[in-house]
Amino acid sequence: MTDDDVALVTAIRNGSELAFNRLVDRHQQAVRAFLWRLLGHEADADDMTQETFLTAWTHARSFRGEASVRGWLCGIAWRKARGAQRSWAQQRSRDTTYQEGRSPESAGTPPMEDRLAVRRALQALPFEQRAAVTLCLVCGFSHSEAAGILGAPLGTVKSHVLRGRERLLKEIEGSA
Amino acid sequence: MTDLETRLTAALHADGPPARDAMFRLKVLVRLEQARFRREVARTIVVAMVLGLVAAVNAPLIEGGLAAAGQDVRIIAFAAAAMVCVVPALLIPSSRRTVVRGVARWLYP
Repeated sequence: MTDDDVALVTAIRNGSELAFNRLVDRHQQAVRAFLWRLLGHEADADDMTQETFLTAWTHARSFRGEASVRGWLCGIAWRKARGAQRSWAQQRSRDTTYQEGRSPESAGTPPMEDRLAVRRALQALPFEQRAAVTLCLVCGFSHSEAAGILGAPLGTVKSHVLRGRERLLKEIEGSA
Repeated sequence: MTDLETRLTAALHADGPPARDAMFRLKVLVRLEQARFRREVARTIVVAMVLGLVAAVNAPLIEGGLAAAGQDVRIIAFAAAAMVCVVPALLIPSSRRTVVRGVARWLYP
């Protein structure tokens, strides 16, 4: 956790909107990436990311400095996503065609087959496993940080990441 | 790192959100303002209801006061009505700022 982040949260506690703006700018990418992969639907994920930042604004005092600010935000996002899990599951198939055909291939990006295979395989993982894989392999959190965010034992998170990674690798291998 | 692992890492990091997104920040701020507005309106409604309740409970006392006031009854009634309208509105910071600015302009033109 950087001193800047601590200063931002302290300022937010005192009602500084400028600090809140900076916090959103600095951490929106990580929280959105986590929820995009976890929920598999960008518009809903963005909506939930916005709610996450609103919760961070109203509950800034709940940040105790035990985890990084990014970890704290992802923890809020995780609790919101888990709470809404059922309705997301019902809507999972929505807009699939749009999502899958969304990004054209360009130089430097991985092949479309790989991206689709990983996306499909990720969505097929159980919810908690998907969260653990996303936090560790996409957002770059350590296993212990991910365990803190998910409120799960370290061993469970390690096993989730290992198994999830194996499944993703298998899917990529099959897509070639 | 094997070729498969490299491909997996690249695929996982593809199609991510942009590092900076002014539009997203704007949407968060809009929602923050909406939430704040809803909270303020709810608080204003509660305060107005409490004031109304206090007035209803003390109706006999107010009636007695008004009867004793005689000719001043209209002024007192106007002052009471103005208070019921102004006090809740003053609880909203933007209204408060407008009132303070108006008074300041009136005092120091």
